[in-house]
Amino acid sequence: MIEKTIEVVNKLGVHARPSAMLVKTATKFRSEFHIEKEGMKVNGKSIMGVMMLAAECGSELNIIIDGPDEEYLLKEIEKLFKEKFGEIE
Amino acid sequence: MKILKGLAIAPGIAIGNARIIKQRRLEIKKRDISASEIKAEIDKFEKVIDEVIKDTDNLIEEYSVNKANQDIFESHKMILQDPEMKKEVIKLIQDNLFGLEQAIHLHFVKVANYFESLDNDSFAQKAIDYTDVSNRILNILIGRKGFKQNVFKSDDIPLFYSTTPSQIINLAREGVQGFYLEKGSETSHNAIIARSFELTCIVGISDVFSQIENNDLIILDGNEGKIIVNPEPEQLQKYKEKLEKFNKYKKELLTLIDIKPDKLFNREINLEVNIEVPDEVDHSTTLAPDGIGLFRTEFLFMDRDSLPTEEEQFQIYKTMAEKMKGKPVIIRTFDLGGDKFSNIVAYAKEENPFLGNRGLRFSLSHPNIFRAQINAILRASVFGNVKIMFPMVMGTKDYLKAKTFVKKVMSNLITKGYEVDENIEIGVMIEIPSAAICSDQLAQVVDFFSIGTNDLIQYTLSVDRTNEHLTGYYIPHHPAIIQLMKLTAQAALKHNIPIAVCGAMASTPKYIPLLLALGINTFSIAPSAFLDVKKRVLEVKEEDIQRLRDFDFDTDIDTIDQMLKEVTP
Repeated sequence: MIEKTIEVVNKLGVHARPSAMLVKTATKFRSEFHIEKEGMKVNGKSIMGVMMLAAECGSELNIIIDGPDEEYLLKEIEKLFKEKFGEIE
Repeated sequence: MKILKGLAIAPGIAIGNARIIKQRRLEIKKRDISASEIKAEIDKFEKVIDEVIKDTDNLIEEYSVNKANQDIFESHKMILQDPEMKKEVIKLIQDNLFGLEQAIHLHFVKVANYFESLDNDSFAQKAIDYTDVSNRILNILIGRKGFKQNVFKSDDIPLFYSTTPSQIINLAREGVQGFYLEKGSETSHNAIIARSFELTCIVGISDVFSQIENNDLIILDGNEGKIIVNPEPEQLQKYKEKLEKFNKYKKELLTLIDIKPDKLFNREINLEVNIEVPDEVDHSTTLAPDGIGLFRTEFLFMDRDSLPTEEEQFQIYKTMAEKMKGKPVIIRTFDLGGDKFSNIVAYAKEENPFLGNRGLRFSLSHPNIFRAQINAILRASVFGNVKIMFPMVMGTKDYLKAKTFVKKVMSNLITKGYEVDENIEIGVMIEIPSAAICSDQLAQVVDFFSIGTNDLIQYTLSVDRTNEHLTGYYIPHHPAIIQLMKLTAQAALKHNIPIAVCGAMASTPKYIPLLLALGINTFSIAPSAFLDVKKRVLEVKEEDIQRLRDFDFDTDIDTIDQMLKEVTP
């Protein structure tokens, strides 16, 4: 199991489109994927769950991944956040 | 009789029988089950979800050319496949012994309400998606008509919770005169299509679905923005007469399609159309326009969550060029910013977006977006008579910067082996007052002018025309506006470049003689006003134009207004 804190750096926050990108990526992997924000923990493979976090720019998310391909999934997830979900400024 | 006040987003009158298509939330009857039935309910759940997913896959394929609709169904699919959704619905069945319909209903309402409460457009859209998905599942479970297109009679007036542009086009084909839409704004895709196909559309009546029942006789008054439910006989008669008169007038207009306007002062008159979304084109070409004088491209960012790709744009521009068969198609590059935003671009908060990073400025500061668009336009340019037009140009400097950008993109394309129209014309919108004032300089470097009157008036008079406190201040025939247009027209004539008007003034018959007198002979007109303007053009007399030419516009507004009335019967 790996845990990592990631900051939301894209201006629009994790709204509908970034949530869909996270879920789409996560469902390609076998590992379990959870996201925690201020004590609220959701299934990262659930669009409803990820959106319910309504994570705004600047908020910190605790990423918890557990499974055979956990490192690969983490890498992909970090990439999405780092690349600001393709958002244009 | 009941009068419900709303907002008209497409004018006109429609009389007919109410057809409630999609209540926002279906009425679900309470149905308790026994513990022994739990398994059967869960099996039923799995089955219905599979069925809706399959249906969604078909819809995604069906909409392969319409990215915005496709995005919606991709989002539906993700909701249907959500493992947590499944868990929660099953839990409601197991723990509370709720029937399947009730469990689904409860779960989806909870989620939709939550997203709606977040007060953010992106989440609100998701709330609509959840409601749609829930309705699609429940429609199957309680045996109501499926999600597929409804069939309408011409005297039906559908009342939608939400709808899609393609559904509105179908309504027009079926002869429906108007419809009510729960969610919609004047600038939405749906509103544009409704206006273009001349369907009356009213939005925003609170609690409409509990105030109108199926088969109620209703009148949509799209001029005053209201619905009259079960009108009194005399009221009904009044509206029937109005409608008849209007239909007779429209029929007369149709006879004008094949008539070519006479030359005025030996100059050809060109009547072109403004296109806001590609869906309008087929309908607009039946009006026999001389070209597309303004093809707005902001629709590529509307109602969707992904950036338009070069390939997607290329296909659209190419189709447009081919459909116009050699007649000009002026593609205006993205005019984002101002009041047009997208879900994909994080805009810096601007104190005054209309004076901010919009139009050409936005494109120049986002070279990747701009490059994809220019690539697509240039590649499409060999399939017809395509021209490029920049919005929000301030003067020669920003124009030349953008032109250099185009030339660079062009030479890259040529190196890669693409065929492009190397002499593609590149023109500008005249809508910032500075561009009009410096039009003599601009005319020496650009290929054509097109006056965007809406912004020119707004910026010159410092009036936001959507501000309800300022009605009466927004005056298109203000002497300052006429001066600026005159200056621009003279510069175009002097340097021998084409000039057109594509703003709302060109769609207003009253202003046509004035524009002709200024020496402007090309008008790009909203499709719904096209024949009205053509009628005016055909009726205008050369002596009226001469009178306006001799008139000194350096005078007060009322005198100008009086003069315009004298030459317009």
